[in-house]
Amino acid sequence: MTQPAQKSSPDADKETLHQFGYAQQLLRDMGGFSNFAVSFSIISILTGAVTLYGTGLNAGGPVVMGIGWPLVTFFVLFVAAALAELASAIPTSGALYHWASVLGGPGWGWATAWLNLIGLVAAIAGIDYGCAQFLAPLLALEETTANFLFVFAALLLSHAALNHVGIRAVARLNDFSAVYHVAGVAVVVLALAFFAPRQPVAWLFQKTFTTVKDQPYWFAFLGGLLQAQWTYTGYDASAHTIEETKNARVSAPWGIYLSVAISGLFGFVMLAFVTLAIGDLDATAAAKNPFIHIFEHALNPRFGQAVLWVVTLAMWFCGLSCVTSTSRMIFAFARDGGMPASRVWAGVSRKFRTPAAAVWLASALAFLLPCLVFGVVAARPAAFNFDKLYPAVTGISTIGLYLSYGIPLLLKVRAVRRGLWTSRANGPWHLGSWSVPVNVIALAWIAFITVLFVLPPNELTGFIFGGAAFALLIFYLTCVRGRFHGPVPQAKSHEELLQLEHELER
Amino acid sequence: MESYGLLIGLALLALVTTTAILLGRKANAGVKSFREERHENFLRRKS
Repeated sequence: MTQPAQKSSPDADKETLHQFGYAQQLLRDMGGFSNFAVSFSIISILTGAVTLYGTGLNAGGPVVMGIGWPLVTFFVLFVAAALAELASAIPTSGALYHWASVLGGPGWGWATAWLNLIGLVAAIAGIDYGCAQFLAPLLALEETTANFLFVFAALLLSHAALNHVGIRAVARLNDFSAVYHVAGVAVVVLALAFFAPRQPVAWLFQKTFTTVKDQPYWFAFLGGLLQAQWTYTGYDASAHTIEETKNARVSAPWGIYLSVAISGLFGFVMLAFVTLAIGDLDATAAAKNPFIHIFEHALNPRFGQAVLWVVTLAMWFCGLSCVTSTSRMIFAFARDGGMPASRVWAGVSRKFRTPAAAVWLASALAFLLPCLVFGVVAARPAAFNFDKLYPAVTGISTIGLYLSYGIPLLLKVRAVRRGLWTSRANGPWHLGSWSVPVNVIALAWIAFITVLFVLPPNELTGFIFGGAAFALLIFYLTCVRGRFHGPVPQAKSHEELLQLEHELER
Repeated sequence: MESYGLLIGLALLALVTTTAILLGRKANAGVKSFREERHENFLRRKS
């Protein structure tokens, strides 16, 4: 496995892309901070950690925040570092899918792409539907499914329109979002630190509590890790936007790694202060929204409302970044003919140089997913419980994304063992002799959470995800096998690639 | 957990922080060595 030659000219990014057989179709306008900001915004500690706060608290109590969050952070750092290495070595928008194809062949690439797509679409749905549930009451709308779906559609429309109009606008918004998240956490922490009563620090690490019945505490605690694990998803966005990032082979890997590390720090500080402000643990756990309940009781109802607005806007930013990332993934996969009607989804807006068709497809699929789920629930209300739906969607997103992270990592370890991946294949961002152990730890963690999050009480995740995986397998065996050839160079020569770029610029 | 929770928590926080820093430093060293190698190759080609 060899690597394209390295250049130090300002056009190095473009030339690297040419060496992988692709033209520079997307506008390369993102700096290192913007690339980091996309992933940091998708991880969005003010989204995942907040919407699933009740899930974590009910599963294992304060210990899930005090010990569960750092535990998950520890292992996710290994996953992020391993992915960052691959992003540096193979810097294309297809990212996970492209890496798996290069390392294992088109079948592995196809599976990775679909798992990634399922995870990303479920992530958009989870984020924006969660946002709609927060926003509807703030807009004085009645909390009905129809209103939630209406707000959800409006949110998706705003994200799709902005992503269609341009990477510049989205990049500026993502930059602002990163600062906003840090400022939002600072507001939350300072307000609680100065004005709220506090439990002793030891309570955060020692207080065990669960409302989960018929299971030992340690098992319920592990189930509560879904809160942190779902928060740490979507940081592959830095790799999906790599063709739009300057100095891509260094900036994007740092974007992946630092977005996890910095989210870990700020997320822990926020969760610690929020949890230590709990007065009555039983009442908080039983509340409809435990996170808001804490603010309303520790401070006052008005502050609770203000925090709701802060969190809702953070979710909006998170959804915006997630549509960016998903559309780039669809664009790259369709560019290689991996999807039905690929030519349509690989289309680039001449005016805005964005993957416009992929943007609208990502938003439409995200809208359809909750509609489908509601349809199923409406058809069999006795068989499904609405309370389990949100954790189920987030579970699907987590498992889909982490399996798609795991496949290229596994294939890379295999390639190293077979001597096919040597140090010459590394990009600038690499871990040298630590690379294999880091990959192995990351893989062990992915295997662990994949099993954990389909066990009871998350069996609904297992049924839905298992059904989707089975359908994909049938689709692959009947329609795709032998017909899909993986990443396809867009042209045979450097001159043809230049011609493609010239045509797009006209 | 009631008796050792604080100790476990603080040890875990120290472990996470150390790991994050060490992995970051290792990657940074990788970037530096990559640039140096590339620079040497460039000089070799020139001479």
